[in-house]
Amino acid sequence: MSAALSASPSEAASGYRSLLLRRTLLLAALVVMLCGSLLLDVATGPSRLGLADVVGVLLNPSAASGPVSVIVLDVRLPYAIMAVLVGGALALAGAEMQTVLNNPLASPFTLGVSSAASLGAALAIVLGVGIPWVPQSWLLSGNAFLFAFLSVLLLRSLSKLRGAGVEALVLFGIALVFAFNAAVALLQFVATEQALQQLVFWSMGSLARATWPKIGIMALAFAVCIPFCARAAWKLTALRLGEERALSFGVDAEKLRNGALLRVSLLSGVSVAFVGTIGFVGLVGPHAARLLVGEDHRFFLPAAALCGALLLSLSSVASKMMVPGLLVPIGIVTALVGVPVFIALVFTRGRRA
Amino acid sequence: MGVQQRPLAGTWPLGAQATGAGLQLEIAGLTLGYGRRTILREVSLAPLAGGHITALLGPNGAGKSTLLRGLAGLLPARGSVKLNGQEMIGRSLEARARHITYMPQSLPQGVALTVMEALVGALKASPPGAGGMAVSGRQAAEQALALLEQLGIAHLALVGLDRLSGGQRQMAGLAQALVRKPEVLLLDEPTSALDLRYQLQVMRLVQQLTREKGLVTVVVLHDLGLAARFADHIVVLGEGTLRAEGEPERTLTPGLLAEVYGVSGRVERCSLGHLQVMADAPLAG
Repeated sequence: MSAALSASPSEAASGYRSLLLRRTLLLAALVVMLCGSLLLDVATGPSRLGLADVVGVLLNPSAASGPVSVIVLDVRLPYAIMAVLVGGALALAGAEMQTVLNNPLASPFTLGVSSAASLGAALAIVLGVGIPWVPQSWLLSGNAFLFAFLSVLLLRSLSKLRGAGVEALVLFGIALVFAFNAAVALLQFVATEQALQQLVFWSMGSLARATWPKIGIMALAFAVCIPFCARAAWKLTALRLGEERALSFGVDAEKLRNGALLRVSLLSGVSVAFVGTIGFVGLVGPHAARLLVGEDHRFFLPAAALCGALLLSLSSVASKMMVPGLLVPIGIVTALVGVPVFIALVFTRGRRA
Repeated sequence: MGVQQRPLAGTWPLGAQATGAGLQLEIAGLTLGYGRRTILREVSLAPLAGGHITALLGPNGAGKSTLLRGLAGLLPARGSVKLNGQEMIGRSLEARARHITYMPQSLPQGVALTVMEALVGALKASPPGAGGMAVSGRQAAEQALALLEQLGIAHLALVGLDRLSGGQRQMAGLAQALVRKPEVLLLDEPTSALDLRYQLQVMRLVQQLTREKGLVTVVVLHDLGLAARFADHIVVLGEGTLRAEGEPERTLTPGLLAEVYGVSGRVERCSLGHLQVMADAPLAG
């Protein structure tokens, strides 16, 4: 602790500068680790390709041809990139949610977004009901996205209607989880065996649905959200000092919250639409980031996204290695890998400032 | 790890002019409430002048915090609040935040920010004109540090908010209000969590800043002794209305204690000449 205490102002000034530097370096380290994990993810798989082959294809994709290039460019690379994007999106959404709802348990999963997406997916799978004019192959994703997106808006308007505070919003979210889950259970009850199997598999979450167009859409969602996140960073930091305090600083908390929830619905909506429900990342990514860099949102938001991306990317690697020759659904692996990592992080970092 | 009081420099650490010269806050017919519930009715006060501390007193539920929050613009209000003749009611949060700063009773728990990060965040999140967005990160850090030094808590700059003692937290919260160069400073029970030494330190600091910068300072206090000692003007609320206002000596009387607080008590000068308020017993009924 003595290292954190500064006796004189000049020491405090240099201490603050080195704190900022440390946090920047931590972000850079996360980026490096993520790149490593991404490479590892592309290099592993049931067809035993050498690392050299994989790197060769990645470095010079136009020259590559044959089965190696197909496996790397059309199968493994999309999966690996999707893991990074989805992990980042869910954790970023979770981080913003936890801040604007002032609740460490808030995440797209715990407040009904994922359940809503499941309901949308179930409607598509079991009843074939979907948005008109959406091509059949996109029916499931389209439904899941629409429901996820609408659930956040529903949450928002429910709490507005009541004029209720943030606590009520969290309670509404939990109520929505139960309502959506019940509706999904009802659909499962009437579903054919085949549809039921498909639905269960969907709800476990899988990167096997990744394609380049879907990656493009995920990247677009990120590109839309990131500038607004960056603009809101200071205000979100101020909001952590208490809503009334932030209001008296001139921060329009209501507007900030609406903007953040809109971003949350977009990011988590596309994520669950494309890979199914992967719950753990959105909750734990932000907590890991908080332990690493604190809650200055200039560092916290990118760190949360990077932690989530890293966690899901590592889970993707683990999902291929856990049972040889079998791709375990990533939703299962995420929790199995994530929980020990997270507990270790809490134990090692929790005692520090 | 106490707070060392240091002599305050003559200028705002923030390099601002003493903006408060000749400030005046006028409150007339102010009605405040939450939703349909009215809590304060038709409060009009004598103009509050810059360089003076006004203590807001009254029993629990009298509407003291409500009045402060109303002045800060956090509640829908009817009536008039004028700062130097400019009507504040109906103006945006952002416009008010340029002039007025409000410190709620406490900082939330479980926030992973250091004292310094919180200060820089408070400054950068503020609208331009209240120090905010316009300043660069480096300037914000310099200003924050200068203030911490002035408050004698520069040694806490890199300590997490959650590791601070009650008194240090209060100082950190106060710093978040001060860093924004307010003209009107609204403090909700700044001494509530503090031991005797900190109570005096915080109140002396508030007094010093109020005098030097010519701030209009309004403080909610529960401790009538502190109010008698540090306030220039006393406003007593009870059951949502104004019950008394004026100089401490004329306002704090046994009659007021009986009427507003329901206690029998005495108001006497001690051997040092300070006004002392002593509550003896609750009155029956």
